[in-house]
Amino acid sequence: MILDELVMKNFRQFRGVQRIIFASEADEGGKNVTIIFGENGRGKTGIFRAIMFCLYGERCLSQDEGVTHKELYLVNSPVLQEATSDGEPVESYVELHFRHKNERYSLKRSLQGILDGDEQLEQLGPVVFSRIQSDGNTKNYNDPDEIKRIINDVLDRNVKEYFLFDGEKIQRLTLSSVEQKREIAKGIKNLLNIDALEKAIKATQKLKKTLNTELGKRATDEYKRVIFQLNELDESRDILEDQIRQTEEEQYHADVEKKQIDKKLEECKEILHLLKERTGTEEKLKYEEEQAKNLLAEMKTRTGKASLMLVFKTIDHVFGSIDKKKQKGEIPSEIRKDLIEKILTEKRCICSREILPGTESFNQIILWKNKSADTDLESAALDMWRYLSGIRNHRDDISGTVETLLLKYANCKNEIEKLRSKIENLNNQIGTSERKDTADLEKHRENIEEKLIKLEAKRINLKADLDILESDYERLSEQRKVLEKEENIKNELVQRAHLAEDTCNALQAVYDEFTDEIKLKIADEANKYFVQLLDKESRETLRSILVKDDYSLQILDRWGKPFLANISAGQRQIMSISFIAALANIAASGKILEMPLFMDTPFSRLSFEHRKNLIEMVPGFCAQWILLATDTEFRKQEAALLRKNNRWGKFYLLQSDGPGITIIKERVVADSQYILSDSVEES
Amino acid sequence: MSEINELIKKKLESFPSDVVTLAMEAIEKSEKGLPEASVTEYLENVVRKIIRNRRSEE
Repeated sequence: MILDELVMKNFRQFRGVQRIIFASEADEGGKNVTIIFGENGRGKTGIFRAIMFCLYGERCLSQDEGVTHKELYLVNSPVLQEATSDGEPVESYVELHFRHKNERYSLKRSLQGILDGDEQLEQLGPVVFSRIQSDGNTKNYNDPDEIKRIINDVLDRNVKEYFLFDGEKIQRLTLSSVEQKREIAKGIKNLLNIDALEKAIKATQKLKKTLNTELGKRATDEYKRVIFQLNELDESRDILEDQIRQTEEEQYHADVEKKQIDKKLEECKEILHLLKERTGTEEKLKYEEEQAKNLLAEMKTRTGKASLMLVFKTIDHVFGSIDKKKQKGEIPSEIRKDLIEKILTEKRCICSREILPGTESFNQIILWKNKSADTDLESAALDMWRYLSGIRNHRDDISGTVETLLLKYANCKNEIEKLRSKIENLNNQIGTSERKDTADLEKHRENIEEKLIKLEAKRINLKADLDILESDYERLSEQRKVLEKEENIKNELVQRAHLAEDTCNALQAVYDEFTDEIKLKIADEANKYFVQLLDKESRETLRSILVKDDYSLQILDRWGKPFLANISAGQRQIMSISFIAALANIAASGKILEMPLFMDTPFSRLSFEHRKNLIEMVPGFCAQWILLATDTEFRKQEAALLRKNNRWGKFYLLQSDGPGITIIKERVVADSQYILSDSVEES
Repeated sequence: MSEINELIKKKLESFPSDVVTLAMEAIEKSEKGLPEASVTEYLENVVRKIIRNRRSEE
């Protein structure tokens, strides 16, 4: 595919009809480089988007991650605003003229835009596609599926990213996820025709099976039995291969899931210490809260005794008073009142001497009686003295305990406050990632690991069963040949079945040999370009590119260690370009592949030496090089290098013509020395 | 890509000519994006033709 001309009408920033004619090898002097130069925001990516939209109907590019179709406007907004007063929709289209294998193609995809209040609505219009065949006849196509199929034949959707890419994103080829690696493998298989080979093997397998089934129906005796068994083995092989495929598919998905969990865990790792600290703090808080609760309960049980502390002064006073009387001997009184009353009633002393009323002794006893206190009162006072004495003895204990409990409780509350504030602080540091439950993730990961081990064991067993089946099949096939020889069976159907089987085996053998060779060949070719494109310093660090079994890339350092994860973005870009060049070279069997290399923002991550190497080499190994460059990456120095190798054919400037409007102006290449700046600072 | 087909064809050279013919037909039809069943159906006719030719030559 060679791009000839791009015409846009009211598409993105490009108001009205604007066009770009691309330089290609077929032009005079073999100039095949086109530079489309513009500052950021002028619409370079709009041109890339126009080509993707026209070829594949794609509105969003890989760089539009997170942007929905509705949010992305393709119709020029200023034109739409002006048209609102007329209430007319605005017509927009992209037209692409290209060549492929001596045929010319013209593809036009249109859309209409209209404003509904503040909302810009866009509706896809018809696709017009025509093909001018090598004999000069023109064929027009209307069926969208057929158009899609033809475009896919010219440049497969899976391969397009190798030839039409955003310079910033090209390193994705080397950074890709498992799913992207699959897509890349699919693309490589398509580009190198490996997928057609796989399909051919499947078709001949099916043919062989159909013919053998037919043969089984017509055969007799022992030969029938052998054919029948072979067919059965064929069926079993299909089932086993299906099971192996399914198991591998499950392994693949489990692996993808494991990698996603690893990624999440990796993100959690940064806050893992904080999460651990928070868990520890939360446990401490729980303990302290429990302690506080227990202390409070203990304090409640001691409330009764503790209330005595309120009347300690009164107790001291009462105790003191009674004790004073006791010390004086007033309590208990020396002679008990009831004893005196008994003497007076019986008129006889305890010594049996008679005491008569009116006598001095009797009067003296009456005097004693009056002096003596009430026995109940004395007893009560003494009881109180003893009780208060007991309280006084425990006073220190009560106040000591209460004081200790209060102190402990206060400390506890203090600690709780501190812990709560610490948790709040930790939560702030952890932020939104708080929701990631690492423990759950780790558990889930363990389960997946276990599943992967089981799946691998299942796969190995299935493979072993398949090996046994293959050897049975081989044995029966030999038996079949012997029987055919002995019984002279060589009818047409048998010969057809044999041809199908031999072809199927031959294709499988070629496939195995071809895919092994092609991986080595891609690596060899990629290394040739890599060494030439790399700057001197990188050449000393990096040894070679390796193409793995799944067609993903690896790079080895000078000691032969895998080094992909450690190379710079610029080195990744060079590695990807080397890989693309190798693929193109192999796909064209050493000639120049008829494909454009379309690069948006090609040099932004590259050192000057890398830029120089690319400028000197790329025009030689691709049929057409189209660069969408900005002022910070394409300066007088780069332009001078490009002019020097005499491959620069077309030069366009993207210039502002008011807000949201860009016009495309063609300039002669020689003007670049006046237009471009000397350095980044000047631009 | 026809260049790749040439490479595959070269690898098939060591096989009998009928096998090469059928294999190349299978690849070429697979390249055209036809469904697998259609390719198989087409190949069935090719096989029939090859064997009939072979038998008539014998």
